[in-house]
Amino acid sequence: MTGDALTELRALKRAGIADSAERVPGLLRSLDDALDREAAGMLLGGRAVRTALAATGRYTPVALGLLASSTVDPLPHLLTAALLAEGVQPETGTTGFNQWRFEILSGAPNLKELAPAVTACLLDDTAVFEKVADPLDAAEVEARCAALPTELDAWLTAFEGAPGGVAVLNTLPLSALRRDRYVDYATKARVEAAWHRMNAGILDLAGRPNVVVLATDGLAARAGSAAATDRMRHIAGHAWSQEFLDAYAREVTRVVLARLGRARKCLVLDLDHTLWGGIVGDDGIPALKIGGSFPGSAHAELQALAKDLSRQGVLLTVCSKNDDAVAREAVATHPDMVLGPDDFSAFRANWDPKPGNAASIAAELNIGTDSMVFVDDNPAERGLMEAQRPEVAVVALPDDPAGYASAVARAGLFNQFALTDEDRVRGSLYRARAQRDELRQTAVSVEDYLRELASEITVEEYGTLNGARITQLFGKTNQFNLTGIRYGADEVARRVETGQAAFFGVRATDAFGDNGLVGALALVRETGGPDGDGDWAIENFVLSCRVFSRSIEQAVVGLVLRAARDAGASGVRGRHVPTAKNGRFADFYPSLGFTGQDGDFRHDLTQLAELPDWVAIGTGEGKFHAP
Amino acid sequence: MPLEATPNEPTEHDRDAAVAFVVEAVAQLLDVDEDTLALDAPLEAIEGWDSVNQLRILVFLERELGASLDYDRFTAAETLGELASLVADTEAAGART
Repeated sequence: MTGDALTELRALKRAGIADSAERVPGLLRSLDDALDREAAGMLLGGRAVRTALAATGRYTPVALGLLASSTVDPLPHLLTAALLAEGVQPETGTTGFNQWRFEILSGAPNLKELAPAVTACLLDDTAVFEKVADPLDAAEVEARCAALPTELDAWLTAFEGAPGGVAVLNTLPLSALRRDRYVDYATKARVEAAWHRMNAGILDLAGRPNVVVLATDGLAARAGSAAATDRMRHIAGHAWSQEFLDAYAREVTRVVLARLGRARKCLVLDLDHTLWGGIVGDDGIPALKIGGSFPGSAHAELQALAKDLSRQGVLLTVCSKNDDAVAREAVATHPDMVLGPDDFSAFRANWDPKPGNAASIAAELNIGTDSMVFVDDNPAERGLMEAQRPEVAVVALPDDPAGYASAVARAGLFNQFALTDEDRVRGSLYRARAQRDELRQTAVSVEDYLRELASEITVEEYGTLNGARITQLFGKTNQFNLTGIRYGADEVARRVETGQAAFFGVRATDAFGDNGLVGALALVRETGGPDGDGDWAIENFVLSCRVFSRSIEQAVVGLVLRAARDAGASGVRGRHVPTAKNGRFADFYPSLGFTGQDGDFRHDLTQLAELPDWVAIGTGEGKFHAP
Repeated sequence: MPLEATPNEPTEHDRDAAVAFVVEAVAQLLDVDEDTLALDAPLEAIEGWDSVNQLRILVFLERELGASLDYDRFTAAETLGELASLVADTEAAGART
């Protein structure tokens, strides 16, 4: 009958889901049929289950808006299934049938209170043809197609006012029944051309901040077809196929994860039968199949994809069952390797179980295992990783190597909003860090190491050049993120402009190179409270895990305290708001002489500790100041 | 009731299987206890039964059967028993080769 996983989910629910909440994501991931996924979403979306799941503290809550120009009954349930599988629990708000335009243009009466972080507005060709009196009049269709992107642009401007957040739009497919209605080829081509220009105009809207535009044809290819079956179109009034809505829900899930700073950062690659054909330990280096004819071509294709991912900031690592020396020699010397030793930020070739190796790679790179994606041809290795490290995303590779690269690309696990220059050089930043680690092991004491490292930090005022990176740091930093507050690009710009907050970036260089912008800080003036007047407050401070434990965080706060004192403020406040990842830093402020409790701290400015003398302060453009 | 069903008539055994199948599908999709689903109770009385879920059940049954159900008979069905008869008849008709 149905998938066993669905039956099991139902049994868990009946037994009280709170005790087995950790099993839910794995069960959801094993459902691959869109009807079963919808049923699972329904099962887990009821009020009592939602409350029970939320109470376990295992799920990040997120509010979502859902708008559409046609019936999308399955969508909220499919989104629930897709997001819970990733450890996120959505609360979705929606509006009446085909009210997508009115809802936003009338100030979002239904969504405003929910304050959705992401609102998906799924439009089909109804949005065009509902305003076309005569669909056979090609000139009228052309005019309507030309008008829609402009309408959507105005809609987005209203959207920024309320409800705000990220908007997800899509290109519109032209349904077969519309397209095939024209009998002469000239008109077919004319309407088709107008349609493509319209979709290009909609895609151009992705240039606005906080707007994502999904290309429907890509999702449709994944789903088989975008359009509902003719039967469902008539019976249920559906415009979209169940499979398309499922693919769309998974894509919106990637957008939500990017928005929550949960996009994955690291690719963990097996070698034998994955990056190359053959087993290097048995067959020898010359016999490995890379490039040339199939299957070597498929392994080279996967390597080329990994290379392109790394050029966009994804860290590449090796996790292989091999003798270290043999594996390294193959990577370094095989003439057809697309990837070379310098492309990998960490390398584990040994005979230990891979889940442990993944954890040790994560520790070495100072990232969480939940930001890793594991690629291995061996189903047993994949199963072991899923069982022991369920937070690692495991790509379900097909049996045939021909489909490896497509499967990794399609997973979209690294999707994010906008790349910065920082992302493009991340691999080399991490390799420089490996050299620092070597220095640390040879240095006599931590202090000696820090002196030899010769860190220098420069404070930068928020501006057009560093704005994207500052927003991204707030968005992507999870561990050293003291209050968990993330900011949209437009929000930062607006608050700076209106003088509500001042934003800064912190750049760090050291003996091994430039680390780029590694920290970001938001300062506001404290108002109210008994001794609140005249205090500055650090609304949030984030620091990249690449530069922990080098006294940079102390130096930054030390600079804020000094700037506040020089400006005549009476104190500086700082807060720690616990999130799933920032517990390590609960005592950060007290360790610097702040007093207070329950995460609410204050430092008066009568006595300031010395700045750590092994961190030099660059005399760049910036000095901290309140808005 | 003939002892041997003609090829396009469902047997008693087929009917029992169809009942179990429909009960399980409805219980699964609407998340209700199978024991509370009586064959002769009105579908309208099942918790969560509405037009959208009715269509979900139709799509679900059709997927499992690999065949389309007669839409008029499906929408006219007022009890689980009638749904089960429709399923049994559809399967028997499909088995005619």
